[in-house]
This record gives sequence, structure tokens and C-alpha cells, in this order.
Amino acid sequence: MKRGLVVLDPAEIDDTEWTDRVDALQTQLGSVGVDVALIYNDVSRGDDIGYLTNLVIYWNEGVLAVPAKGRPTLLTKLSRRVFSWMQKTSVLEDLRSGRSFGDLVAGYVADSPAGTIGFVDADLWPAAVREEIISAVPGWTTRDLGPLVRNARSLPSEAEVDLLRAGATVLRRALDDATGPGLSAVQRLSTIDLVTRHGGFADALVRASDADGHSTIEVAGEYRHGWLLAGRTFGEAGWLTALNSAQKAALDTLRSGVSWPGAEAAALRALDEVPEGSVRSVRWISQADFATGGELVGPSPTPATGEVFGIVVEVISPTDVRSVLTDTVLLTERGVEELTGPDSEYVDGARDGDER
Amino acid sequence: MNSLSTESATRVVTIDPGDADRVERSLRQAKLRTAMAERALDALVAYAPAWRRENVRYLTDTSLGGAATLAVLPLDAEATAFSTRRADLIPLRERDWVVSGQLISIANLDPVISEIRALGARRIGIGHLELLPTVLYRALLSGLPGVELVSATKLFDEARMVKSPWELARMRKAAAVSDAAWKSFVNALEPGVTEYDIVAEVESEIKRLGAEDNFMLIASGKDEVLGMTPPSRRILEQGDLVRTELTPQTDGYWLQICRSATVGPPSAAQQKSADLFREAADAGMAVVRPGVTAHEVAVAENDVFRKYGLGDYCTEQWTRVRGHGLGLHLDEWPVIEGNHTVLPEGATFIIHPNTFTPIAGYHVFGDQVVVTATGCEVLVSTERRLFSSDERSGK
Repeated sequence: MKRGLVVLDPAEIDDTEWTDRVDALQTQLGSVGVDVALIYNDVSRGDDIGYLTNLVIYWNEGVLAVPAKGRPTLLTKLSRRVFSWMQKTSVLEDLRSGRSFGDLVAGYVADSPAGTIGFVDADLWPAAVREEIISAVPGWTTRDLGPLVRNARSLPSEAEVDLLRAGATVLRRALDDATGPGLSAVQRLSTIDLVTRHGGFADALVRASDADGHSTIEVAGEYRHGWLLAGRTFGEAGWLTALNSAQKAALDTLRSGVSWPGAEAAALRALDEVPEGSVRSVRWISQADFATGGELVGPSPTPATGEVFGIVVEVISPTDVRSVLTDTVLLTERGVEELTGPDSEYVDGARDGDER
Repeated sequence: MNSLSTESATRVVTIDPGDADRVERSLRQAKLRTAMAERALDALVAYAPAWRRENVRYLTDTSLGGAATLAVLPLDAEATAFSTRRADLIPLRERDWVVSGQLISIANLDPVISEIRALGARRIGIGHLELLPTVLYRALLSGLPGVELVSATKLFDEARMVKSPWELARMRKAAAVSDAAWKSFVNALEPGVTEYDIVAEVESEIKRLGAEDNFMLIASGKDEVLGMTPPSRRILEQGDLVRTELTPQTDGYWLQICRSATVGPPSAAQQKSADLFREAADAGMAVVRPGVTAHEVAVAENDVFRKYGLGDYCTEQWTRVRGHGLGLHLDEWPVIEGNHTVLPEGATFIIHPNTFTPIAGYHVFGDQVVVTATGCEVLVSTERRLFSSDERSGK
């Protein structure tokens, strides 16, 4: 849960970038004739609102209203008492509290001539909340929009990539410490939490298991509003090296400019030696979808240049033992930069708690 | 072998843990099916987004990680579960509270639809229907023509409100983790550390003890502190009051403790504030027994503030509620404020009169209790007082 550091730091993301992000969305709204975009997030997936405002939805739900012109407004069922904290840790100025999103949206548009409201990432809106809002603004036209903000987030800016590198430095250290010999599953969990949260992570979703001589640890960690994904299985089974071979095959294929289906095929070939009857999979997840494990979006054809994504190599044996190798990488014009991989060359840039 | 005694209305039965699990599963299903019959429901569907997993957990007793999970309980057939994460199918099989676990995706809800169709269900209650994403709701509507979908969120809330002896045994185990969490919190307090460093120490300790998750708010400073927040880079200073709501989740159950501690010895005002909040919490506890309403507990707490001329600080401007239920969700029924629900034996909630006063700023103090036949039992064993960093282990 989001119990780590929450901070707005202009040295990391400057005012211009915050403005540019909203401007880019507003340009899209203008092109499709939408007067107000509404973005719904909850505590488990709050990255769209975080991307536009730096606000962390630390509890329950929130709706961000973005007008075609002007600054965004947060609509929340949380009390006004938390507004000062929200303003301190975000670029938001206008926050409004109420008992229902329908009433809040109706109040928000009350002084504007009727126009068009767009639901961003409409498929993921709770149907009941969407209907409640539609009923509350009878004079307005509503339309469903695609993942406009998620798409923008999938190509991180230079500043965001710097933050991801800083987070990756912390995460690599956490994985090093947590995969040392003699640690139990809960000790590995404990170590990951200690290192990442001292290192300034806002969230760390960690799972660890010990089964059949396999020890597995998986982390989805949020550093500021960027996510990093990493997973390791270690044990005595000789075929576990096939996970590394598969990841390498995928990365080498991507480095050579071949698209994802080719990389996936190469990686799966490297998994030929895993135990017979195992379920094998190699998939990629955009960093924009790490918070949900990529499970709330449809498959994308291939990562784009400039995209940060996770490569997940997973084997489930016939006896239900899971083995994984997961890392986060950046696809550049020059090839692939491995952010969380043990051989990453990037060692600079960690900020909070780097010396711990 | 350890055994668990569970008391029914007429007899005490001693059963082994394996049997206890089966008894608990049967008890839950029976409770839900009674409610289904009263509402003419053919099946219940629990939907869980990642932040509201309590109903799926209630039916599966499994810690799932999928971004969207569901469980189906028919009126007269075995329960099944579904997840968007393949890895979830393994613990579902191991735990064995459902007859099958199947993989679904946002684009393919067919396994759920096939399951419901096979039941011939005409009216289905959905827990957290209010949170069901549009894409899944539309898939259910189109895949189940003629089937009425109604909310069963309240039905689940009511079913979960009274905890069984099996659940209370788990909550007592969770309480021990909360006690340890508070100890690690106090141990982390010293001038020069940041709020998020304190959280790191607590999170690490509770994970070492087996906690699955944690909900935690913190606020440090003097009397200017108006409320609780996630951690910041603020550095602790001598004389600070550091407040926390700490809520580890262990074996599915959230167990909250609210305490405040000073960095260095407390000032007279900080001690006075602590005494006030202890008195208010005690007053709330004193009225708890079966048959009392949740609101009466809040009134008892607030009366203490009113007695000292501080009644204004019990309003929405300064605080939220005077307590709330906890179990498989961390903010569940019954809410202790403006809620006239009659408290039943076995309900668990925290009594926390947390609010701002001019005495020493925002103050938190509270304990989770379970309603007993004659009153209430405090679940944690941490002393009910103001702590100081001077008490840190090894100092």
C-alpha cells in the first residue's frame, strides 16, 4: 500500500513539465470536441492523476476534471481537512469535496454552458459511477474516451527516466540484499521493504515464496510516479538458467530492432529445457501499466522506442511451482537499457536514502 | 495438534485446525446463502478490484494479487473463483476453499459467464457492483441476457460484521503484529530521522513477522499539526509529537492501533492531551456491549471533549469518525459516528477519538475491540498511554 514517501520536488519535475502534460491532454480534448475530461483513479491505480498533478490517491477514489482550457480540479469524497496536504504535495489548486461524484461533477459544470464531457479510459471507470455522473448532468453530452493519459505516460520524459533510473538503483540494491543466502521468504520481503522505503519508494508490492527448492521474490515498486518491476527465482534446479537465456534472447532480439513477436519466439525457444508439462510464457508490460500488472489492458503489439517496460519470463511447473525472471528495461534508439538487471551499468542518481 | 474451541449457543465443540477451516467455510457459506434466500438471489458474485478484496477473500480465504478477481457462490452449488493473474490460481488450488480457479482477462469474462449460465441463475447479487469496471459490467450484461444484476455489497458487509471464533483467533494473531509494529515505531523515533524512514522500519518489521500489507498514516510536529498524512521528508525534532494510525494486515485481517509518542520527554501540554484522549477512548469503551448502537459509542467519546469545552473539535471540520469496523477490510461496518446500527456480539471496531485540539495539535489514540457478551475486549496489548522516544529499546 502507498505508505512510503510522498513528495513534490520541483528539482525532479519542473513547473513547465507539469503544465506541458496538461496542455498535451487539452490539445487532444480540443481535437475531439470535448469540453471537460474526467479521469477516475483509485488507490490501487492512481497514476493518471499522479501524472497530471503529482497527487497521490492514498486512499479510496478520486476524479480529476480537466477542462479544455484552464487548470485541473480534483473532485473527491475525502474531507477538506486533507486538502492542505494534497495542495502541498501536488500542483493542484482547486479541490472540491462532496458525498458523490455525480453531485461533484454537476457542481463543477454548473456555471458553464452545456457541452461535452469525456470519460478518459472509459472502459475502466466503474459503470455505476459513470452512470451516476451522466444522470447528474442531463444537459450535457457525454462520450467515452480511450486511455489518453495512459498512452502519454507510456513514453516517459527525460526527467521521468532519470527518476526511474534513481529508483532502479535502489531496487537493485534491495534485490541484492534480499536474495542473499539463508533468508526465508518473510526475511526477503522484509528486506525489500526496508531498502526500498528508506530509498524513497512510495509503494512496494512484494511477493515471496519458497517451494520445492525454488525461492522466488517479485517486486512492483513505485518511485515517485514511476514504476519498476523485478522478479527473481533462485534454486538448485539446473534448468533455471533457461530463464536468463530466455530474457537474454528477448533483449538481444529487441536490440536488433525486431518487434515483440520475434523477441517472444526467441525467448520461448530458450525455455525448451524447462520441465515437461510446464506452462511457459514470456510477455512484456508497459511501465504505464505496472500498477495493475498489465492486467487491465489489452495486448499491445510491440514496445515503442522510448518506452519503459517489463519483460516477464514465467514458468509454472506441473506441480504448481512458479519460477520467474522479470526486469524493467528502456527501449532506446540505440538498443535496450536494462534498468533493474544485475548487469545494469547505471549506478548514479539515487536520491532519498542512497547511503543507507 | 493445536485445537480451537468454538462456542455455539448450546455447546462447546473442540475441533482440529483442518476441521476448523472447513467449519468456518461452511459457516460463511451458510450465512451468505441465508441472506441470498431472503433476497431471492440465485447466486452471489464477489468482485474485487485490487483495493477492495474483502469479499473475495471471505469466500476464498486466499491472498490474491490479480488486478481484478471474482468469486461466485451459487445458492446450491460449490463456490468458484477467477483472477486476471495466472499466479493466483496456485494458492486458490492449494487453499481449496473453491472448487475451481480460472484465469480471466479484461477482454474475456467468458469463464465467469459460463459458470453463471450453467447455474441457470436469473437474479444475481454482486458485491462491489458499484466498483465494477464498465468493460466487465457490459460483458456480464451482454453475456447474461435476462439475468437481473443487483448490488450485494451491503449483504456482504452485514455477513462479515460479526466475526466467528475462527476469525477472532486470526485477529488476535494480527494484534500481536500490531503490537510489534508500534514497538518498532517507537524504536525508530529520534531527532534527525525522516517520517518516511520511520515508516520503512515499521514496514520491514511487520513483513518480517508475516504481515501481508499495512495501512499507515503519520504526522509529526508540534501543535500546528492538523491531521494525518502519508509520510514526508520532514525531519523529527526534539519535542515533536509523532502520531500514527498503524494497521497491519495479517492472514487477511486488518488490526489497527492508534498511538502518539514524543521525541524526548513529553511537555505538560502533550501529556494533558494524552490524558484527554485516553479518557475519551475509555468512555467509548465503557458503553460498548451488545444492544448499544455505534452512535452511542461516539456520543460517549465526544461527551468527554464537550465536558472540557472542546466539543467543537468533534465536528467534521476537525475530524472524521470516532471509530470504524475492521476485519477483512480496514474501514468497514460499523462506522462509529452517526450510525444507529445496534452492535452485535462479535463485531470488531476501533474506538479512536482522534482529532485536533489546541492543547497539543492533532492527537491519535485508540484500540481495536471486539464486542463480548458483557462489554468489549481490547485486542492489542500495547499499553494505553503516551509513549516517548526515551523508551526506545537499548537506549
